[in-house]
Amino acid sequence: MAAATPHLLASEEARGRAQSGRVRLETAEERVRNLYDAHHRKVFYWALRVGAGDRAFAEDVTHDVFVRLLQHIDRLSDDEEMGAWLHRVTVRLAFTRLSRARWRTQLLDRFGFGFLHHAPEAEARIELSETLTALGELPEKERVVLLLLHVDGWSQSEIARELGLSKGYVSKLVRRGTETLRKKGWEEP
Amino acid sequence: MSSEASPLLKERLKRADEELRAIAPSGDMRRRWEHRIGDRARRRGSPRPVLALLAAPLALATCFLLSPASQTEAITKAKSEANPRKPAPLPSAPVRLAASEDMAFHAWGLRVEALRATHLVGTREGFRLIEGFARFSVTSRPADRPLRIQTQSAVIEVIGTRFVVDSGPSGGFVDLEEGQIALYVDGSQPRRIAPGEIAGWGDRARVWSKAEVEAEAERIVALGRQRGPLAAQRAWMALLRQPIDRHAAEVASFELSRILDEVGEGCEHWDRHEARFPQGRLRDLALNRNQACREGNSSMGSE
Repeated sequence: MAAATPHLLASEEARGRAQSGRVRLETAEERVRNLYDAHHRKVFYWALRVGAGDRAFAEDVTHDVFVRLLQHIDRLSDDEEMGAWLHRVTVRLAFTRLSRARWRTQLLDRFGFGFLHHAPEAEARIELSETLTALGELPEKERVVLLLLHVDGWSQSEIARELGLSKGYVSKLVRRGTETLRKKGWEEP
Repeated sequence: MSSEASPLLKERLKRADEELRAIAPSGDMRRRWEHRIGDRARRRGSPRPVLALLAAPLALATCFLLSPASQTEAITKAKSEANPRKPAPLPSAPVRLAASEDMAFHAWGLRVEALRATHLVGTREGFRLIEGFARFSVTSRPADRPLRIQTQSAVIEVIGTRFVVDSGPSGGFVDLEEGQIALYVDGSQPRRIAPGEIAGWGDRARVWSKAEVEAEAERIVALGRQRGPLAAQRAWMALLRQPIDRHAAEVASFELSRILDEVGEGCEHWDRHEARFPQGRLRDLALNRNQACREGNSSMGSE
């Protein structure tokens, strides 16, 4: 029969004390609200990367992510997993939202309703620097992959796993993105 | 051409990223999000209830009209949780309680006190005890709503009561302190348990007789003399996991605390002992020793 060791007993007790000895149950809604307070800036920033500084777009994605979290909160028990989940969902939702917007624009253009997509996001877009504008001209996947690789220091395999892409495709995105930035003179002092 | 980025390019990427990081969301982002998930709970405490009553249906209707189907589900969920007429559902997210932690769920008149690390999850009718050892106290259960505690292979139906459950992967037991419960093991017919009765299931189905417990206690004492306190400590712990008479369990727990005192780890266990046997026969002794332990009187541990 398995018996708890004294070490285990002591660690359980320490954890109990660390949590002040009393806990109150949170509803899913309360938990999501607390997680929103803790993580919304990060989620917003990740969405900004995909949206190349488009604040309205990033806010919409942030809302989507936390609505999605409310639906999945039951399955996410471990707070350590939360950061990874939020990043994955943010980037994927942002990609989906962009591609849907692009598709809608093409459709409206094709049927002569191009004037309808005076995107309010474009009006709400804040003034961006030259550097950020140049970065924004990259396709979103190339942009995100380059930032994850060179700013966050992820490996290409990690990026592929996180974004649900093949390693070969990530490598291609890196090559294309680097090439585009090089042509824009980003390697010239 | 090489795909390897030069340091200058990397530096520019970092600068661009810093610019992105510096962009702040608008001040009303949170408010709009609250609006979107149909947060009525917050409005319930509003000092302007009339305004809130008018605004809430409008906000919800807007959310329903503007939201895609996938979001409607979330909104409905948030609404039902915030409805003050219905009891709040028990938490569907797994809850891990460390030893000595407790939680109250007032709408169900239920209090759960972990006597050992306990892992449970709310269900439609109560809790599923994944693993652990906890006391469930039910004070004011509505008559029309059953409350059931599920374990791996048994279901305990609460009929107004206080009891402790020890459940592991292959079995467990329930010790009824007050009131009445019905026990269903592997979908069997319900068995009514009377106060003071202990019932087990799985590999702990058989309740130990008094003679068996005494024989085991003697064996553990002898083991302690021969092989030292650690061996005795493990044996007491193993005995405590068995469905044994409450007084025998109290004695075993008391002995275990004494041994842990000797290795300087008794204080934690005295707390646990007090929580497990609040009305025990050795209560005063345990209180004194716990007090002494807290005050750092190490001489008490060597008695």
